[in-house]
Amino acid sequence: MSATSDPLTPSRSFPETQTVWIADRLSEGEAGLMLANGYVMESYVRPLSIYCSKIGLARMVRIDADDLVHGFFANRLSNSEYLKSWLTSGLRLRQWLRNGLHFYVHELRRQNATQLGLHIGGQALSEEVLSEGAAHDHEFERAWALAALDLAMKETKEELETRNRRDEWEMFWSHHVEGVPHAKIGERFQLSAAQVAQRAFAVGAQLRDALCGILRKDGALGSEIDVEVRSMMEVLNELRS
Amino acid sequence: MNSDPDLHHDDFGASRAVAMRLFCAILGPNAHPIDRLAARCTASDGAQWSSQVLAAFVPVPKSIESWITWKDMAKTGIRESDLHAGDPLALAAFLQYLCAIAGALAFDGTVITKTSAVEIRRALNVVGPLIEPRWQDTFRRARVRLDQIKEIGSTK
Repeated sequence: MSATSDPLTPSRSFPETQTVWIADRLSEGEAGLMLANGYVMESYVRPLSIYCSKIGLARMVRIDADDLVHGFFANRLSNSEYLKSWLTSGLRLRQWLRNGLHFYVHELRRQNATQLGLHIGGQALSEEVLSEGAAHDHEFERAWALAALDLAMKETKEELETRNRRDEWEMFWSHHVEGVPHAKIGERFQLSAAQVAQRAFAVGAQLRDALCGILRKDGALGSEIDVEVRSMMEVLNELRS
Repeated sequence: MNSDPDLHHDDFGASRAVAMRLFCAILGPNAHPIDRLAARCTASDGAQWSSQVLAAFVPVPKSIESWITWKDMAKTGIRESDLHAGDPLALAAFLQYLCAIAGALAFDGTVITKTSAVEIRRALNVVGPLIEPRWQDTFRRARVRLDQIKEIGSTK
């Protein structure tokens, strides 16, 4: 039996070695590339789109934010080398994509300007575009934190539903989010407080594993997960400027 | 509360509170008390809860000795294990403890705790914006004082 199939046993910890899921997919040829591209689009479209809306990036090129991000993915991911370049960049995948999006917007603006017979851009383009992105780092990190948590929740709930254990998500939610005592939840599900505590704990571990998987695909090491989670909490709590 | 939320729907309100609590659950015993306190303050009844907790802080101290007395009283309600488990009473005591530290700092710059300046600053930054305006101002002034102390230290 695998560790995750037993609801009362927390899943094993991730190993410390960095095993980049996307690198493995890219080594599998066309089919792997499609999987990797699919994962990137599914996981990053929302935070990038929210980011575009919040900082007005889409308005610069007069495109809807979702359309802009989908256009960016279509343009960049059609190049099989794009994700391979990320692997050697030393950046987190989210930062790589955000920078790429800024470059893509700059390209669109340049195209539009050329069509109108104007000239934009010039020297030190990289620095200009990257500093533009860095200035809005907080907005993006905030959108990313929520998106990653959303994805982890979705994955956990789907896994529980597959095993007909949706009730355990409700127990976890009631206790950890709504603050209902275990004993009270137990009355609803005809379980003892200890049984509810065990199930809620196991779901918490499963959610943690799901988030770990997402963060590792983004390029984090297994040993950095707690630090990553704390920085996600901080970015959510920071003052609105 | 909906257990299938869209966390992006309202990322400064209810969704943020849900996210904070989920992150605390993910960290489990490793969640820092500051983050647990922030999660409690961002809950739907968080503002009301913190106001009630802070309403016990009367009269407002007018000397460093009074702030220290408050801090010591709050400390008696904090049991580390309860705090790490997110116990509401322990969190309430922790909020009062933090307010006493902030109050003393804002009063005349006195640091009445052995906790590191980095940790105090983080607590002031994270919890400060989540509590009632009067205390937000105290936390803000405490943060300014803390920065001044740091600057004095770095020029010595």
